[in-house]
Amino acid sequence: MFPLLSLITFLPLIGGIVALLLPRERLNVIRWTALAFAWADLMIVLGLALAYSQTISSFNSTIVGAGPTATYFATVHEQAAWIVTPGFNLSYSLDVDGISLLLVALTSLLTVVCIAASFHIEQKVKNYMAFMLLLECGIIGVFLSSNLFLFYIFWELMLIPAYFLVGSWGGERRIYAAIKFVLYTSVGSLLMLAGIIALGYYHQRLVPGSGYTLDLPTLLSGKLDPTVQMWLFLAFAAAFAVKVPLIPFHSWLPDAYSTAPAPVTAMLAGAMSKTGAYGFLRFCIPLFPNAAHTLAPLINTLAVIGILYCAWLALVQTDIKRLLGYSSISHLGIVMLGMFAFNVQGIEGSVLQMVNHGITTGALFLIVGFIEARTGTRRLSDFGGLARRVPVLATVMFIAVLSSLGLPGLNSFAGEFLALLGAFLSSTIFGILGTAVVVPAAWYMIRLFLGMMEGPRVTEGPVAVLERKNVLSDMYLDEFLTILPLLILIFYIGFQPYPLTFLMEPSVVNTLQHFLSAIPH
Amino acid sequence: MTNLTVWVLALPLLGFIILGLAGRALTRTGILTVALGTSGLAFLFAALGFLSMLGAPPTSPASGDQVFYTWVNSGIIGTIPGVPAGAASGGAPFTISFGLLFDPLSATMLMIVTGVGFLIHIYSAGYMEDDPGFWRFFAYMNFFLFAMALLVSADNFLFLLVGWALVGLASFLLIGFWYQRRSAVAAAQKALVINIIGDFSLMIAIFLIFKHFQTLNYFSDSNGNPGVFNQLPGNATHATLIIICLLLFLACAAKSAQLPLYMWLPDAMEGPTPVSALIHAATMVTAGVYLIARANQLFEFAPTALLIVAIIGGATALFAATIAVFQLDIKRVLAYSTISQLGYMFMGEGAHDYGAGIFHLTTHAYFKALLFLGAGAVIHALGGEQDMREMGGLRHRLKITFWTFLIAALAISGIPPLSGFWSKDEILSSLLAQATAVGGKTGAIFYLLWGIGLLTAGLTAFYMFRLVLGIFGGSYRGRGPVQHGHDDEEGEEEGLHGAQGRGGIYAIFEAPAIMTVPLIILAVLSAIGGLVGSFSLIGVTRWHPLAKFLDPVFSNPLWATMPVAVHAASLKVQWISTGLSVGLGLLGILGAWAIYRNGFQYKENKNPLYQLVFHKYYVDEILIAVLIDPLLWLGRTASRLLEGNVLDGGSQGVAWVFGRTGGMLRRLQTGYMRNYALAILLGVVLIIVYYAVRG
Repeated sequence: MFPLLSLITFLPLIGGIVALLLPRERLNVIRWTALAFAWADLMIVLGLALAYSQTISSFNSTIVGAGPTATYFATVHEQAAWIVTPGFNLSYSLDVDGISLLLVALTSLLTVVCIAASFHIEQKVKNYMAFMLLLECGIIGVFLSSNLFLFYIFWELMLIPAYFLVGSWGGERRIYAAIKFVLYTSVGSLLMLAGIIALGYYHQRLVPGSGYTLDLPTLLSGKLDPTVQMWLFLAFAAAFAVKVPLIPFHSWLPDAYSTAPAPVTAMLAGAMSKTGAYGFLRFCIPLFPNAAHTLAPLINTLAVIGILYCAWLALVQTDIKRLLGYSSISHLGIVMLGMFAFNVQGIEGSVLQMVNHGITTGALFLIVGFIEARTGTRRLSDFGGLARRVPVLATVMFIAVLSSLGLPGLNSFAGEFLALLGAFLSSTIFGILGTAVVVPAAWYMIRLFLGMMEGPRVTEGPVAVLERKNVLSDMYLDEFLTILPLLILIFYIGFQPYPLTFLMEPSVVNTLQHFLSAIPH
Repeated sequence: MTNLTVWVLALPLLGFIILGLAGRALTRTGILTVALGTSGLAFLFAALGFLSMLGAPPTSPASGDQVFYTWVNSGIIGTIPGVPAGAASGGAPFTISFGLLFDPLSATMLMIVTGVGFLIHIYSAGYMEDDPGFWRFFAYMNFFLFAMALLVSADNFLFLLVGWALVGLASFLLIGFWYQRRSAVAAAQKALVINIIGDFSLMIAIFLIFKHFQTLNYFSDSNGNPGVFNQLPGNATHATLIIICLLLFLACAAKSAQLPLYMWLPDAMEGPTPVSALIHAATMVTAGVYLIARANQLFEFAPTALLIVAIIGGATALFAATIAVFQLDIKRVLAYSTISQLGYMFMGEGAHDYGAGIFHLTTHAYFKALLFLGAGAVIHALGGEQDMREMGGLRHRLKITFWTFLIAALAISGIPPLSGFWSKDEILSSLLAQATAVGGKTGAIFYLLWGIGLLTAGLTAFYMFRLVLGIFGGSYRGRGPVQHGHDDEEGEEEGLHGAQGRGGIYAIFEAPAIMTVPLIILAVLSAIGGLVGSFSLIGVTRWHPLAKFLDPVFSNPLWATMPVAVHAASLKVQWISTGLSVGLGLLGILGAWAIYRNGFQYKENKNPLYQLVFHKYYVDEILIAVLIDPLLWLGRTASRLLEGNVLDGGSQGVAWVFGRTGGMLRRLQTGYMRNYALAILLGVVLIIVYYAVRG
């Protein structure tokens, strides 16, 4: 069979290597090459999505009333022997199901958009583009791996380009932010590595005579002792909670997001942050269902605190990117809340919210990047009444702002509605507290938009100087085209999120059935 | 019956898209063609649908329901083991579809929305003529029509919420239309945030509804999937139903500016006056009244909640009327008057007379739109002046405006036979009938509410005629219209209202025909629009075309599991109520005449009670001091201390500890073989000792 998934995963890596081989001074060739590879990858992913939707349309029609019959990955599967010794088998295996497919599609789309938005970067273009593509490779690998060892390799692989992208191309305090980011992430990852090794060990003990393996389907077949599950869950959660991030493991995020160049932030916030939530859904919950069940109140509490606390902090931020950073944490809290509701609506809403959050946050960071590129500042108080000068930019930003605050009819609402509905069905109090965020969310996003775009013009500061010189230009066509796919999705998913829930439904139902069959009723 | 609702939605949406994308490039004529064309056609389709329904009333909700596409599909209700999706058996997928419901209630609402909306579109062509944001204005207005039509014709709670939020967005955009004004932007933000509180409440209500009814559709569809209203009370307890209803009502209170969430509406007057007429008086703010009428079944099963609706409505009606008495800005008088009249509608619904609520909604749409448009004509003539102290004597200069305004003022004051009389009378007599019928404590409450209604009627007449006399009576007190040139760019700068040459009263001219014709049409409707309501007063029993038209929604078993029982008042009771309300209305007018017949005189009044009401009970100031400021201060403190010192400092501390430990450990790496050998030896000894001790 054609190794489609490997192609999707490693095409960006090949693109990165090709970019590195190009002559250093041919900036545009490098840029377009990188964009072409990212674009090709996106096309392949979309083709896969189309094929996948056809394979499951029959599955979905039989799902009504069906028992837990389908296998966990009802899907495309690739496997090859990798490190094999007697009693020890680490295979190279990639899988895709509805959930990972949507996230891979999101990642490849954001990569295209973010690379296109990075054309203005002038220093070390070769390295920059190579790192962006490497980042895509790492993230997609995380979403597709179905062997924990392979998964861990991709997990760590993400960190390298992310570190360099923040540390080399960031703004002030970039080294501090990058090191903080790496330290936070590494501590979590190392705990997870210990957890992975131990998981294989415990699983081997579970089935006498079996070899050491880290293949996810095999691991899923065994039932671990609840106490062991608890420790392993916590070890895995350490890595994932930092990535999401869950309160109180979020301290790295505002620093990293605010200093990194806008397209990098868009990648980190839009795509990479999903790996943490995905890890919970794909590994923590199915592998350690009892522990997930026991610890759900803890996770939900942290999620709710994060949702409200970070919304509240966003309300008083003076730096635009930090504001968006806190808003991002707040929205990802809803992802966690929906996921740990353990019902179909909650988990589907959670995955939908992951996709929508990627689209919306990505768009917002890019727009703020466009503005920062014009004005050189991201202090909220430096702005005011900009809409008169940049009406198109203001309109585009307004759409993204409305999407972010969860306006019904736009994309984020669909995910938030389902996730919060699920949370409400499983716990009234968490549901209400989580939903309450709509009020501060609207408040801080509108405060951001009105503060920048409307009201009287500012009279002092860098923006006022630029305005007086009359040099503030409205959105360029290339900027608009870059962001256009995200805008279309904001409207389309809001108009009809059904295709997305259709794609993920079998996988969500399977995850849930696997989970529910394991926990005591 | 022909269901044309989709066109009523699609046309204004199309207009919005065209104007939004290409409005900047279009000429004024082009913009008007698109805006008036789409809104006029929308009205035409609404009217055609309405007429077809008059000829052939719908037999069931499903017969007027049109489902277009599946919005989302998530899981199967009740089949996945352990999934607490609800108690419903069977394997129906949880599906939310986009569908439009065409029944008497939505048909009536669509008529009002598009009819008044179309008139105000015409009026705006004159009013907004000089505004550089002309295209933007009509784009937003068309968007509003679309959103409002969606709100009133959605066939399920989810798309109700979508419409609910989108009208809020339209309102936000239009309040902040002059986006360079700090005050307009602040008002827009305030309106949005308060409305989102309502959206939040509506979302929780929807969650609860789904939890207990496993569907969000109002009514059973043609496939027999049961709707919410058809399976009441379902497995929901009485307490749950009350909670659902109160959550719905909180949403209504935000949208319809009732206590305690009314604060945004007076500030919303920052928007252009036609916006105030359409959105903040005639249509959007009545969405709450519509929702309660739509959800009448939920409220019928939770009468306690309905009583609270009545009480809040009454309290708001009186509270806002007292504030209106002392306002100086003519639009603010009308804003508080709107809040007060909306309270009236809720009182009527609280007395189970949903039809009366919708009736008053209808007549109020006519006369309040007229009042606002009249005020707009005055403001337009005076170049933006809104302060009553700068007016007076305008009856000579603005003849059409004066007479139409007077008709509207008489209508809202409840003077027969104008429209407001009939609808107000029906609410009051329903309150009195309810009071006499139920008796006991509840009865006493309804007596009290009836009294409040009467008192408010008197106050209403008083402040309306204070306004009429202030604008049109006496002699002119101002210095002529404000002449202000527009900035070369879009929008107006604050403080641009310079006094550059004012020409006294002879510089004031009546508005052009494009503005006065809508005034005249609305004046006719305000005068005779009440005749569709009530003739029971003189014993011509039950000639209630509107009530009869709406009746299926409240009493047909396909709409209403529990038919709504309105206590019909006896003729005697009605005459008492009517006599008193008309008497008090006249008294209010006479009172205003006695004080202001020579024109409005403003005197500084230091009386603390006066100051309290004049400053709107200081509600805004108290809220800011008690809630908003501490919240923001705490947020800044948390940002500095928790995020900065604790978390950031904590991680730096950890890093420092690791750094120091690493430094110390480095000293162990001496590079001398003997030290390493010693360490290995020590380790081996320790291991041996360990195993020896363990045995």
